[in-house]
Formats: sequence, C-alpha cells, structure tokens
Amino acid sequence: MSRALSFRVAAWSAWAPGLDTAAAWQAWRHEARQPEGDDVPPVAAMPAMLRRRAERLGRMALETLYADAITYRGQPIVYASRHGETGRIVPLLQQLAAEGSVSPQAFSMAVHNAIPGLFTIAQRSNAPVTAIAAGPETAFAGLTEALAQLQEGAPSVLLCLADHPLPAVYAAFADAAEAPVACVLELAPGNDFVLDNKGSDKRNARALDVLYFLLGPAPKLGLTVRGGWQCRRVTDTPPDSSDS
Amino acid sequence: MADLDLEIKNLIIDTLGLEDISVADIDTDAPLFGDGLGLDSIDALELGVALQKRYGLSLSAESAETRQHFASVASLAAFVAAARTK
Repeated sequence: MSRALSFRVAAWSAWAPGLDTAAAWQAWRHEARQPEGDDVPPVAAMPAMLRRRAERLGRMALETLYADAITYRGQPIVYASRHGETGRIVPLLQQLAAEGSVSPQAFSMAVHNAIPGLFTIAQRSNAPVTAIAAGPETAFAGLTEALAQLQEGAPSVLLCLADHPLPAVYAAFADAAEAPVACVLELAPGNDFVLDNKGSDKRNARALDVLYFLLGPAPKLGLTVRGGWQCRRVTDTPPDSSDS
Repeated sequence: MADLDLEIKNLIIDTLGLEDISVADIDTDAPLFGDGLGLDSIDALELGVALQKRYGLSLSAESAETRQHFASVASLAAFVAAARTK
C-alpha cells in the first residue's frame, strides 16, 4: 500500500560550488558547511544553441537535470525556486527603468518555468512542467506538489529545487541564510519517507536541509514553521516494499 | 559592404550569446533562421531590437519585407545600408 504522503527517492543529483559529485556531497554531509562562490556549472550535455539561453541559476538546475544519476524518460518535472531568475530580473527591471525597453530573450528566460521549459525543449518532451515559488516554504510546496502528482498516477516525478542568494539590491529582504544550490530528487511511490504535521522541530526546510536529511541518518526533518509539517524516515520498512 | 557584413556578424554573435561561433563560421549568404545558422523566433526579436538600437532602423515585426531583410547577413547588410539613420 502506498499512502498519499509517502514516497521513496529513486535517484538524486545535486550541484553547488565545489560540490559536483555524489562523493563530494557525502563528504559535505559530514562538514555541513554552507556552499559559497560564483562558479557556474558547464551543462556540457545540453546543445550549445539552447544552453546559451540559460544563466547561472538556470545552468545550476540544468546541470542537475542532466546529471548521470538522473535518467530522463519524460517524467513530469516540478521546479521549485523561491526567488527564481533574480540574476536576470534585476538587470531587466533596471533596463526597463533606464531605457523603456527590455531584451526579448532575457524577458522570455526570466519567467519562472523557463528553465524546465528549456530542458523539455532540448529533450523534445511534452511532459508536464510545474513551476512553484512559495516563499520560505518553497521546498515543502514542491514536495507536496510532486507527491500529489505521484498520487494521480505518475510513476515518478522529478522535483528540482534551485536557488541562489538574492542580488545585493534585495539583500535587505533576505530572511534566511541562502546558498547557491540546485538538486533533483526523483520521487517514486514507496514507503521510505512519510510526511505528517506532528512536527515539533519547526523550521522551513531549504534545499540544503533536504539534501542533508536525505544523505544522513536523521530520523526526521522539519519542513514548515506553520503547521509543523515534517518528513520522517521510515525505519521499519520491510525489505520487499521498495524495488530500489 | 564587407565591413558592414562583418559588423553584423559580430552583432549577431554578441547579441545572441552564440557560444563557440566566430564570424568565420557565419556564411554571409546562408539562411540565419532554420536550417542555416539555426536561430529561432526569440533570436529574431532580439536581433531586431539590437539593429534598431545600433542603426536607428525602424522595423515592422509583421511585414513580409522584414522577413526578407532577416534572411541572411547579406540581406540584413543591404537593408541596414539603405535604411540606417545612425
């Protein structure tokens, strides 16, 4: 039986400056330092004529979507980013104020679903893409959206979380420590993890918190301050309940 | 005219962020869109804005003439030479 709010992680990939392999992430799990830096991943797997459209945040997300660990077979994609393409939006707004017109290409790539859209164009896929921004609860909102799609019958869903720190002009509005990080979690029906709202460790989980939880032995991860949602690791899973 | 061809090729590369493409890779007479260089409709808009800024042209996005002007570097150069105001 698969409960509505339970799942397993069939595959995952993640990228942050200095953290571009699964082994590097395992080592990070023990240090738990905040990734920082301005590195941009190469996204070598994407055709150059499409890759040129993506800037830093988009390239981070694309690197994780194209990662060897993720096999794309037309799974639905849930793309969750709290701030989106701020690296484009700020210059666009400044250009609009100064010149009254904006670059059509930059505008088209500033919309929230642009990056997963670019990925599905490159893959010639017409699979559904859902783009979410839900403030400090963005990771939770992405997770629940992906679980809802599983419940509706998707065999698996790619949950892509991607954010980088706000540009300096918005720094006063940053209400949490932010690091550049993108990841893809391929969620599938299963009982390795379960969500409930009985949490006492009230926090708004960010992508890094989700990765830390995924890689480590902790029994639970607080997901939201409001409502006390948490994700628990199911430790008494019978061996035959998961095919991974 | 050859200078203007070169100038437009550089404008295309810079404006559209074409990675790994140099002016030598762009055939003056080859189609810019579809089969030739492989540009798309967003590139056409971007290039139109850049040409208007650089040369003070006025362009109509809907007209069939505009479509012809954008066929190749050669046709763009001919159009710019005839219609530029700066």
